[in-house]
Amino acid sequence: MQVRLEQVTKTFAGSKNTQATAVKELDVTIASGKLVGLLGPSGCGKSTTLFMIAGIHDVSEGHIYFGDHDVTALPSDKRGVGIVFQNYALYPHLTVWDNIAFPLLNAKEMKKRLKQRFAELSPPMANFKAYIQRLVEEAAKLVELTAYLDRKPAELSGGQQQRVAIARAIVKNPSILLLDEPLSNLDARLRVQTRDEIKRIQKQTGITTVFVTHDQDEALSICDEVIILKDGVLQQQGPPQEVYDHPANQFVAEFLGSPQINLVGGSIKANKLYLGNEEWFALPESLSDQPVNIGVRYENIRPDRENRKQAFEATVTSIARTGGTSTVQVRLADGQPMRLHRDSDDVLQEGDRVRLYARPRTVYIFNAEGEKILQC
Amino acid sequence: MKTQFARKFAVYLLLTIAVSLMLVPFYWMINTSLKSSVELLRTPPTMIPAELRFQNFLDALIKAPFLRYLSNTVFVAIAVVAVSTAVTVLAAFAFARLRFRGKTLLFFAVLGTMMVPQEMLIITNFMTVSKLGWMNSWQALIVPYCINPFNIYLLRQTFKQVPDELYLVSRVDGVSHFRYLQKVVLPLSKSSIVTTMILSTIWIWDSYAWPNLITTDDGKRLVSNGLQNAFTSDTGRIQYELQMAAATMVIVPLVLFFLLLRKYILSGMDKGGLKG
Amino acid sequence: MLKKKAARQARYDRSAYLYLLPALVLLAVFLLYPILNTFLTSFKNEYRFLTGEFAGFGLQNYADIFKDATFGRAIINTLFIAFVCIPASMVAALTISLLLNAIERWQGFYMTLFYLPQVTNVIAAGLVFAFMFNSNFGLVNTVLGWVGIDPVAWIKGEGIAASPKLYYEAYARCLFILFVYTVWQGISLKIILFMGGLQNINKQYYLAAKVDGTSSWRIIRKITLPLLSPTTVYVFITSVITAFKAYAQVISLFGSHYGPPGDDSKMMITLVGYMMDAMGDYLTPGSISKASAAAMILVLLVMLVTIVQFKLTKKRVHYN
Repeated sequence: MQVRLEQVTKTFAGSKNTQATAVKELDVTIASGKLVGLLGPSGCGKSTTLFMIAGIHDVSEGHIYFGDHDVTALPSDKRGVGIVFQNYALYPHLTVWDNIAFPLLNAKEMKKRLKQRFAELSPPMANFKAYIQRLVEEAAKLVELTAYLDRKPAELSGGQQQRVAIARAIVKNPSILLLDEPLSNLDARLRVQTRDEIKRIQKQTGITTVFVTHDQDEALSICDEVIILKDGVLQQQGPPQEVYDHPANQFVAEFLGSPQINLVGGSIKANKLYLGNEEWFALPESLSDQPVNIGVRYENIRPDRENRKQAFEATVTSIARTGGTSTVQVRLADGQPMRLHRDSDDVLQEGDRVRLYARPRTVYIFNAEGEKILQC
Repeated sequence: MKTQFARKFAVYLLLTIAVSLMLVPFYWMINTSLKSSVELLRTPPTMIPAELRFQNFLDALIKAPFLRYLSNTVFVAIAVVAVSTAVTVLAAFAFARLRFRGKTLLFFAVLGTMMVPQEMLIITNFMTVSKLGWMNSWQALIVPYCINPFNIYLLRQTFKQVPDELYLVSRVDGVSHFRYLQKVVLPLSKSSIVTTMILSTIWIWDSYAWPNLITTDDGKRLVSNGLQNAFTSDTGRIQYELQMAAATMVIVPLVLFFLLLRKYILSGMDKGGLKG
Repeated sequence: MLKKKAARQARYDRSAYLYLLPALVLLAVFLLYPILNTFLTSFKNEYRFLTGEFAGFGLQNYADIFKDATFGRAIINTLFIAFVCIPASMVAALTISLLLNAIERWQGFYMTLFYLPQVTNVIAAGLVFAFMFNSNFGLVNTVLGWVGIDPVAWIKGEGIAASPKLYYEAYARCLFILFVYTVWQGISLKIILFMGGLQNINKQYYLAAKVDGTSSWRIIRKITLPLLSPTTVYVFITSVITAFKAYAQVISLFGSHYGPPGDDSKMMITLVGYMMDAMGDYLTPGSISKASAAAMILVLLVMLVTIVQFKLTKKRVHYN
């Protein structure tokens, strides 16, 4: 199901009649069947947005649509969403089986619908209990926990607990699956494993999934699309690679990518770009004179041997070798540092004077407000 | 090393003396409860009964009619615990979890009544109960005990410890408040609820002033009230051996109750025991 | 704007009032209304319980009880329990707690035994104590006999109405019995609370002091007791409040006439006892309102102590 947020604003009442705006006039459409990451630093409003979609937080202004249906005023239990929390929120006193079956057996509406579906089953099943059993087993199979149905949550690893939470959210066949920082409580190894698992489960079920995270690695690696928020304001939306290659502004450019993008002060004078104080290259478009920040990612800076465009000179100040690649730090003429990745077998030495270039379409020019004014 | 040992020994010795002194009344009670009425009158009194007369317990049960008092008390305790637990759990859940207008004000009303000495309430409650025509009735013994602000407070604190996310998940899943309370909150708060039930039982078992005021009918008296005057013989002499047997029957069940459920009672103690 | 409001309202759980209903009804009828009504009744002159008539509002009830010698006795006895028995049982409880805190093995066992008085029915235990002090068959006189002391007529009141000397001797003996019983009865809770306080004190303080070679007694005086002072204040205040409500223990020791046989002055009456007696006499005009006035004095005392507690807590509880 498609989810559409239209001019959604959320304000919280603060102390002494102040109001804090958590989300501001958010316009976003999440396509049906996609895995979409809501991404941003903590406090950017991403979880608030998720809770508004879930109906846990009310919307201060604006509307939320599921498909064509306006759900803004609908209580959460009527929205047909499944939710998974960062801390798993499993019922600690119940077994895995009971946890997964909980929404099926304890929600009135759900039970009614299941009874109806049960009556219409073909071929018919012997009894309702067996039907529930089948649904629970299917969900457990999907998250590969069939062997653990009798265990209590405390007897499972973090990753397994998270999968139980996912099974519980999808067993009721929700139209939308909402995941709030589902990986933050896991250790690094499990995190990679579980995120691939989430991707697989989402692909297998085809449920529209919104995934909140502050970790850009996670979002970039599994999402079909990312939505980047800062201070409650939408920064950019698009497929991960595209957002990575074409950041809308300096915030997105800095936020995405690890290691963080090189940012160097410079200026535009007479339609020429200055890297530091040195003239770099002539701009293809005419722009007014102004100070700018220039961003280039590590991997887009290479040694220049053929006198390419967008080349510049620098001095190697240090080389850090880590296995197959090394990170080379250089200094521009005015002393500003930049870093790039090289193969470890490069013969660079500290103090070497090197000629480098930035690959075409990888130089981002941001104005003083942080907006991208050109990409060369 | 030697002084260390001597010091340890002294500590244990002092503690043992203190405990023994404290247990003397229990000893004297049981000792007396097993004497015959003849042996009781011996001076100086015997330190161990010459002959153990368990018949005293039967006599006490029948005579007072102490069996009646005991069963009355058990009945009232069960009724109070059942009703007040239901009342308390529902209210505590509303205060812990639900959103409604006037919540802060109402909660302060509950907290406020905790500060007021219960004894002052007796006067008006007596007037209310007599106007309702409840004198000498089970209602009068049960209903006023069914509200306990402290228990509401205690359970609210416990319920608040259930993580918010469990509630949010069940809301999103369409689970009703009552179901959530029943299936999630209650099982997770079992020990606190048991604690409030035990404290209520002790409260009833020990209550004296209120039942004494509103029951004149022997058929509705509770143990504490029955104990006092029941064992005066025709000659005006108090039959101490029967009185002590009855006292034993009042004290021992609660002591056993405590020994079995020690964990729960002590956890509710810090705040709860002070009410008594 | 309209839509916004609708969305807000949906967030309130209207069923909450259903959950609260039983509790609120009971609270209103048996807790809130009594507080208000007792307060009002205490100012109704000549209040008649059966008809509800009264002769205007005023302070007559308060004037009456303050003129009543029995009320004076009630206050003195209540203060005796609060400020003589309570400190004594605190000293005993603290000593026992310090001893308990010094051991590890058997600690739980001792604590369980020390807890027993707390779960003991007040009336039943009172009867046991009364019988222990029985002049002829009691344990106390027997033990005194072992060390060569003649039997004491502990609870004896014959002839005391005529002789003030005999009266005060009888009174002193009864106070002693009350003292012993109150200390015994109150010790359990205090031990539990002191143990809780002691276990909260950071072990590091002790280690540091031990390394310095400080003596145990000095550690107790210089570290334990100061750090324990918040608990001590708490125990004292709550015990004093409990003491103000003393009633059943006096009834169980001395009977419903609050004194030894032969006494008609209600020698051992307490504040709550006075209130209960006035109420038991509810058919007499003005009696219920006098009971209410006594109840308000109780509330006043409790409030006073609570205020003292707030003051003390502000000053001294920084330790934790």
